Order: sequence, then C-alpha cells, then structure tokens
Amino acid sequence: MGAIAVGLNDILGTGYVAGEYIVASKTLTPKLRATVGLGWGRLGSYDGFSNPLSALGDKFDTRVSDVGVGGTLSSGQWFRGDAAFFGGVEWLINDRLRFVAEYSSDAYVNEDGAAFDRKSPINLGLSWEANDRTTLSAQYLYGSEFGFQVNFAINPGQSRGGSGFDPSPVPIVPRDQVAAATWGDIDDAKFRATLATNLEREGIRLEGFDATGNTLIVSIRNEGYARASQATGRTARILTRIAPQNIDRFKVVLSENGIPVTSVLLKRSDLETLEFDQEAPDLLRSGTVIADQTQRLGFSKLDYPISKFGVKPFIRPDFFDPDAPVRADAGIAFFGRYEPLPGLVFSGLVQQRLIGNLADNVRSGGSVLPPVRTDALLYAKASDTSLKELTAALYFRPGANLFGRVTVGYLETMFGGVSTEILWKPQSSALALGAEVNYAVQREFDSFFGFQDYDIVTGHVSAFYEFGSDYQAQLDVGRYLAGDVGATLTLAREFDNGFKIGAYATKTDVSAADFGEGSFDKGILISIPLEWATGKPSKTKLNANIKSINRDGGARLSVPGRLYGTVRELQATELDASWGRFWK
Amino acid sequence: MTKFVLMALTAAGLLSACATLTPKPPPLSEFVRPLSSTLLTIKIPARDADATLVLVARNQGVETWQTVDNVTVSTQNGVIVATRGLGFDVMGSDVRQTLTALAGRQAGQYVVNRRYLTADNQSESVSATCTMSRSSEGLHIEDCQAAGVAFRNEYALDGSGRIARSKQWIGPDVQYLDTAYASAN
Repeated sequence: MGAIAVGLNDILGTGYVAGEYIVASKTLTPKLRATVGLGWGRLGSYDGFSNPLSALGDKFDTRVSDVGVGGTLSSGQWFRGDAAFFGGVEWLINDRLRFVAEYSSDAYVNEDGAAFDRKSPINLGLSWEANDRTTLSAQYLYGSEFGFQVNFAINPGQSRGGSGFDPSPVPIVPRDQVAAATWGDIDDAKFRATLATNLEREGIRLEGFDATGNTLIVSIRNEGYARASQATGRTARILTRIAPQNIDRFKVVLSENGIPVTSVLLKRSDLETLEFDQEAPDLLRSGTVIADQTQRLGFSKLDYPISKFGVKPFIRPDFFDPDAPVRADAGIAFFGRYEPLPGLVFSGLVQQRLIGNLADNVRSGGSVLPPVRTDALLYAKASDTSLKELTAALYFRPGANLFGRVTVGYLETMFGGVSTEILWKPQSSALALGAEVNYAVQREFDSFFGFQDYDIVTGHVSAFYEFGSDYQAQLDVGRYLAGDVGATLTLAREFDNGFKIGAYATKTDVSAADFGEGSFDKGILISIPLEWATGKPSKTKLNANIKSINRDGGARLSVPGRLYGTVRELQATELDASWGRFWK
Repeated sequence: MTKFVLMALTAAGLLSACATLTPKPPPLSEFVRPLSSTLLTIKIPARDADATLVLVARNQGVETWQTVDNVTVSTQNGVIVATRGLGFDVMGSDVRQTLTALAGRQAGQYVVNRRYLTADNQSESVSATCTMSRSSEGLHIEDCQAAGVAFRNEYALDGSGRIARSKQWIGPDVQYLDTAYASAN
C-alpha cells in the first residue's frame, strides 16, 4: 500500500512562492521507493498543462497572484491555474547511504538567471548518515549547481556529558568529626570567612548567616549552577563540615537581587545518613521543608555592599533580511553592578562594536505606526559605542508569595523611563499572576543620554501556567509600545535541565495592513543552558528570540530583571523538578 | 560576506562561552586534609585514564577518595557505591548483598541497586541481578544482569578478606574502573 499526501507551501507568507501539491509514494522493493505528484502554483510552473480540477468549475482555470503583506491565509488561489507532474525515486544503497533523483515541476521563474541558472528539471542527491545525530549530504541541482549540507540533530534531554562533568562536591562530614561543639567555640568572623571561601569555590555567593536555637540560617545567591537544587546541596555539604555540633537544622535561603525567595530547611542527620543512599533524593525530600521566605536576615548579618564589574564579548545577530539572511555585530561589553543595600541594584552596560554589518541593512522601516522597533536600524547606524543599560532597581517583597520591582533609567537600546512590576507566585503553584506598568520615552539614536519626543505608558497583566510534563503557557494582555492594545500568547516546553523551546504570537488592534509584512508579531524562543552544551557547571544561558521580521505592532519594552523567570527558578516547583541534582 | 559573519558569529560564541565558564576551582586538597596514608589507585580503560586518590572522608562506613582534579570515588569495604566528576556518575547504591556474598554468606542470586542522574536531572534506578562465584585463580567473580546490559566485576581479596584489587563496572559510558591500594611512602 502506498501513501498519499496533500501539501501547501508559503501559506502564511506573502504567497509570492506559494504552491500546492498532491503526492503519492510507494515502496517498490525494501530499498527502492518511488514518488509521483501533481503540483500547482510554482509547483506547476514547468511543463504545465491546463488544470484537471477545471472539471469542477471554471474558477480553477486561472491563478490570480495577489502578493499582500503576508501573515494571512490566501486560500482563494490554492489549487488554481496550470498544473504539472513531478516525481522522484529514493534508493537505500545501505543502512546509512541513500540516493535520490527527482524531476521538478518548479520552473524557478523568479530565480532563474538571478539567484542561479536553471538548466534542467533533474536534481540528484546523496546522503550519508554518519551517526545517530549527524547526516552529510550532497546535491547536484538544476543542471548547474552543487550543494553540500551537514545536519546535526540534538536531543535536549540528553547531553554529551551525561548529568555533567561537575567537579566533585565536598564530602559530608558527620557531626561527631566536627571540631566545634557549640557557637561558643567559634570565632564569628573566622566562621564567616571560612563559609564564604568554601561557597565561593562552588560558585555560590554568601549573602549572610544567622543562628537561632539549633538552626543555622545561611542566605546564598547561586551564581554557579543552572539549577538551584545543586547550589542548595553544595551549600548543605559545606555546612556539615563547619557548623558546630549543636546545630541540627540547616535553613538555606535562596535569594536573588538581594531579596529572599525560598527557604529550604534540611535535617543535618538526613544529610549524614543519606549521602550514599540508593533512595537519597526521595528520602531527603520527605524530611525537608521548602517554603516561601519573605523575611531577610538582619542587616548586621548580611554581607553588603556587593559589587561586580567586568568585560565580556557580545554578539548581536539579526536574521532573515532578504538581502542577507544573517547579519551580526560583535564587540566587547563593559558591565558593572553595585548593590549598596539588599534589594537596591545599580547596573550599567556599555557595548563597543568592533566588527559586523547590522548597519549595512538598507531596508527602510516604512511604518504607519510610531517607529518603536523599525527604528532599530538607526540606532545600529548612529554609533559604535552605545549605553545599552543604566538603571537603578529596587526589588522587594510586599507580602507572602508577592514580589515587587521598580526600575528607573535607560532600560534598553531604544527606550528609557520607569518600569514597575508586581508578581504573585506561590511556591508550588502552577499558576502565577503578574502586572507591569511602564512609562517609556524613546532615546536618541546615539544610545547615550538624550531623549526624543515619543513617549508612552505601556503595560500588561500576565498569567503564567505550568501544565504537567514540562509545558508552560503565558498570556499577556495590555498596551504595547506603539500604543496598540492586544495580547501575546507564549507556549513553551522547558526540560528539567533548563533547555527551553517556545513560540509566541501577538495580536493587537493594529490591522494587518498597518502592521506591514507578516500581519502580526510572532517568533520562536530558544534558551540553551551553557551547562547542557559543555557539561561544565554554569548558570549562563544562551537565549535567542528568532522572528522573521521586526515591526512596530505588538512590540514590548525590554526591561532587565523581570521577576517571573528568576523567582520561579528558586521555588519549589523548579527545585523539585531537578531535586536529584541536590546530590550532584 | 555571509561567510565572514558566520565565522564572526562562531568566534564570538566561543569567546563568550569561554568567558562565562566558571573558573576551575582550586583542588579540594586546599580545603580537605587526607585522613590516611593509604592511597587508592584507579584506572578507567575505556577513557585511557588513571589516577591516584587520597582518603578525604569517612561517613556511614563509606570511604571517599579524591583525585587532585576533583573526581571522587566512594567505597564501602572496597565496593564502589558512588562516584563524582566522571560525567555519568553513580549517585548512590545499595551494595549490602555484594558485601555479604564476598564474605561467603550469600548463595544464589541477589540484587544490586544503583542510582544515576540523567542529563534531564531525573533520578534513574538500575537494578541488577547478580551471582558470586570463584575463578580458578581464586578471584571473586560477580556476574550481573541489568536491563539491556551484562557486566562482570572481579574482586581479589587479601588474607583477611578485604578487597585488595578489583575491577568494577560503573555504567555504560564509564564502563569498568580498576582499583588497587598503595601506600603513600
């Protein structure tokens, strides 16, 4: 029995390259498979004949090419106009080697002579599956061109390094081998220094510590690991080695931007007895209390101010310009961060472009909306040195399960102003709610201190929901940067190692015509933990927001330090999802 | 031009990857003192690697041995119960029945359980059914069968019944680890 398929190409684009087909395939021998099809549109452009569907009505005779702005279905032209046959054979030479030959009914009317010379309808290809993940292929196309291709497939749930080549954690030391019996035997300053050095070796910053009764409270900031569960485990191991014997509980407070988020209350005896246990994650978790932590340690117990300065390389890619599918700028970035008090963060980022061709783009925006994003090119062209961010931010806990933020300053390349946010996110809740209100003013093209005339109050209410098995949804409703009103829906899958793939779409009250090419804003989000790629511990993620075109409708202000992502990473939902990593 | 940009992209990507990696931590020896003059030497034939480890901790009858480059092997009476720093580590194990069989007090089949951590941070238990026998050279041979994999551990006991040398299976990636004890002098 063969297989039959019907297909449509370029259904959401402008329809410029649209084509439809019906195709039948049959396996003739185990190694040989043949395909025959009938194509319309551009797939009926070579050696076409009058449409057999005309038997159903005259309207199938002609195809009206109406290239609009794209983004909407143009079903009116489907299966219309001339049709033509195409076909091919596929020969499996052996398990890894495959040969294909095809006869193409696409005349490449627009491309012939411009992009390449089309001399023949015959295409030949050879592909070799080098291993499970890598395929090499070569093609001879249109009687004039050779092509070579390498494909790598990736599985986010697997990694070359297994669970990672993390340096071993310090072994747990049972209480009776620890030197100090009580706090009385300990010099406070020396203890603080020992604790800080040991944590720093693990990529964890000590924010402060305190002891109440037999509980030792240690507030940390995870700077070293993709998963907070691992930072918690490593902190607990260190505490078994240096806490006086009378301490029988460790309360590890996970904090971010100077505000406490979560407390993990561990029994010291569990850590001692379960270190090598076959069932260690489950047994430890049953005796551990993970809770919301609103109260920060007294200021005298905290290590402030905190500062961090540095230089790092940067890369800014831009995809899908028809004149050059990939453009990019690269250079060095200087960053600084200063936290005089818990929750108060001053930060800045200056980028110096060294090489690149973003500014070579000659396409003009041509938008009827305020040019809140189509102006991006003018910023790239105006200056090689730009002040990307210069902000003062205050993070706070207004109450249980609540998180707040106020940010003032130069928020992103194109806008500065004030951004305020509040988030409700209980520890184990699948649902979170947020609200954000911003006043934004467009910056001068040189990305330094000046402002232009355009200003706007923009903001959203947001609902976040986590379905089981790694799937997440986010709905934002509000007013966008150009003053348009609408909603954004984002769907994503995030693996328990932090690898995330998602897609989003925004529809606002801007008409498809006013929006321009694409009709509405949409894109694909990818976030890859560096740890997954290298097998070495790291909190860094490589993030990409890939969209085919950047228009002014449905555009959102880019604000550093939005709450949901950072808060969620430190809460029970995420700690539990990766709890096995506590012991890594 | 496109080629140039792609090269620049790759170069900058590599640069940023290097710059953001956490610096290699100082060896644990700066933080942890050896507890004994005995050394454990290991070989990993599948990786063509060998190392000498010092004893850095004792907890619950398990000894943890450490290399200078932050790999640890934890043993209970010489039987490996955990590793760290090898990538596909054994996170924890129940080897009580292996120990009983080595002491000659367990006949027939018994079960050894081990826990691994997947790249997606899930705990994965692997249960192996094993039997212990003696080779003609006097080695204790432990033949084990788990889902989709069979392995054979070998133990050479000294006169007092302690493991002096061994060859023990860690997992599908690391495969076998050979152990022997040496003295620090």
